[in-house]
Amino acid sequence: MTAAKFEKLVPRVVFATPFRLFAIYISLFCAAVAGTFIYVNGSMQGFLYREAEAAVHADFEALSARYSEGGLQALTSAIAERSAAPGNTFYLLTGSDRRRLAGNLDAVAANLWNTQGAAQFAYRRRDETSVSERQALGFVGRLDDLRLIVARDIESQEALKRVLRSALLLAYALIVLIGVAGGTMVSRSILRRFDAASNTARAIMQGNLAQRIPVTGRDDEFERVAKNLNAMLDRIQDLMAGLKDVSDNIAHDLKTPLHRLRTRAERALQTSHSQEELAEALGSVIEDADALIQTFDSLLSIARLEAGSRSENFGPLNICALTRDVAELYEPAAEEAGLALRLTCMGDVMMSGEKHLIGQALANLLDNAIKYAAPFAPAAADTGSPLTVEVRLEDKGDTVDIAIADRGPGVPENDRERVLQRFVRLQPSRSIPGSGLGLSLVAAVARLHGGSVSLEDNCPGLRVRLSLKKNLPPDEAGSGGLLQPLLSHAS
Amino acid sequence: MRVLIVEDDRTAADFLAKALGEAGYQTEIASDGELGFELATSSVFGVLIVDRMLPKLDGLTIVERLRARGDRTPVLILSALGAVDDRVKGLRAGGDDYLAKPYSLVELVARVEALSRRGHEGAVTTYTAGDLVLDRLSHKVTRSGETILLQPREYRLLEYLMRHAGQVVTRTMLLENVWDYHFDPQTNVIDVHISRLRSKIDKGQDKPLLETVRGAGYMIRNDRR
Repeated sequence: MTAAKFEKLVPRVVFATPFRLFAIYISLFCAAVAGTFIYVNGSMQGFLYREAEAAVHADFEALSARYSEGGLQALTSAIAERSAAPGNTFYLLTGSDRRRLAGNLDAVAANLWNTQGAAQFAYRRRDETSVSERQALGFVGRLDDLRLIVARDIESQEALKRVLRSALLLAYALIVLIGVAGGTMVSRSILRRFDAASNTARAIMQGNLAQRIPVTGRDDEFERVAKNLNAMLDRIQDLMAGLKDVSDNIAHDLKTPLHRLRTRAERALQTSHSQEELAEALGSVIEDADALIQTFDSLLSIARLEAGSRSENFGPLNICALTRDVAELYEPAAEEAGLALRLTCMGDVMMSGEKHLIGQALANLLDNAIKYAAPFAPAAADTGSPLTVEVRLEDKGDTVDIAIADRGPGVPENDRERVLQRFVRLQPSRSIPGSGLGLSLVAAVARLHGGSVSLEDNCPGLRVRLSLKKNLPPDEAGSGGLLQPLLSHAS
Repeated sequence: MRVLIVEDDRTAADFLAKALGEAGYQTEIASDGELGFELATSSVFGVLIVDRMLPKLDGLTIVERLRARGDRTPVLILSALGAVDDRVKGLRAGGDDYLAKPYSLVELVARVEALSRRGHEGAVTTYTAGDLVLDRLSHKVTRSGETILLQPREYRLLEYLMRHAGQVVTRTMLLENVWDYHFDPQTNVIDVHISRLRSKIDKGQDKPLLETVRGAGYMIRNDRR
């Protein structure tokens, strides 16, 4: 790692959330380890000295007993005897003037005489070769005006204590070091994953929608988050592509009638000589413009519906009455086209929905049925039984199904999904006027009412089934509605 | 009759003024909301045409303030927003009619005409046009004394046309007022209903009363005019 890179990395790592969390953790952990070590050290010390303490105390008591029995004479001889024996026990008997009377200990620090009972002190030990200062544990006491110290060398215990302490300190240092290093590494690896995701997000914001968060192949929560985000990005990309297709289509489909309008106006300007000719041409231009306006209206309606915002006109309605009304509106037109409109819907069926939207959807479906079946009507009329357009409403409990069936050319099976899309018009129907938005609007209305549109074979002809949910739970259909705030702001 | 046009689009306002002028109205134009409210409160107009989105004071607020003052002058609201919701908001604010842009001038003039007559209607129980008589109490329709049997919808269609006898009534107005639909039925469904009605009231008569006004709509002729 280069110095520059290190400098660049360290502050970021230190201020990152994972590291902060880790720092808190390692501090608590170190405190706990330190506490444990201090306890171990303390109890070890007690254990090591307890034996020595007991031994010197017992010895002192024994000598004290000898003094009580035999006086100074007995005491000095006992001390001399014990001092001569090889071992690690030391004696010092002094008078009140602190002059040595007996014992194998040369001298002790003056302040030791002030204590009473167990005490630890340093002493010089003379042996054949050298003088060394060693630690001893003694028992200091007074026998009348005499002072007696019984001590035992505890250098080996001290050594053990030193070893133990340095081992504990070393272990502690190692634990802290490994902890900090490990924490930094973990933090950095977490940060790297986050950085990867955030870099991807930045790249996407800059326009590269194909970017994805790198996946490592490990099965951990980062992986799951990355996979889910990637799946979301895939979906967004699909939607964007769809949207792009739609807007491309819209641009194309609006250009065509605009071009027609323009050409008509241009031709009229060039070739019309009389007032009537000009008036007629202008009339056609207005018709073209009206058709365009209607297309725009439909597009806006579809966009509004697809934004999913439920309007305030959403309320209870009698779908049966509405179907009857719309059928009645179209009945004369059907008859005019040589078709018999038959309606099957009994009684009242209540649902919650938006009357004008469902009305528009039904109108579009009836309009289509009449438009496409009409060319087949004369042939059937010759045989005596006119073709029918059937409207059948069925109450299915949770949903209401409205089937509108005609005896027109029908829609081939593999085109049935496609014709629900915007501006899709099948080849044979190009000669029949229409925007290619009628069924798209029906589908959008169905979706807003938690339902669907399906196209079926009426053998022959087409049956469109509009299925609507009777009772939508509040706001199942309208989840937020992106468009709503924009539009209400505009008003 | 005077009509106030509150519209910030100068070109649109001029077209409106011309079209209404040709139909016999005197017009005044206010190019922002505050000016419009001032004019509406300082002099008397037969009809107010108020654009919904205006500088300084928006159209709905103008209507609400006028209504709060007790001013009942018929108001036609114009708006670029065409959805049913917006229409409902406009009418709730106190507007009498709502027309979405882009509108046709014929449609607009027909609606202003309908609004301008609204006040004089009163509690009329019988509509008469030539020898055609519609009794609103008994729902009986006669022509030259002969009873004509009509379906309920046909009756309502004729009632609306006769209330506006001598005025052009557009297809959209019929759809909105007779059927209460605020959507576009695409094909000529209204025309077929009209031709059925026509066959009942004008068949065998030498003076047809129900006229088609080309490029606009329909009109019941009122010979009193």
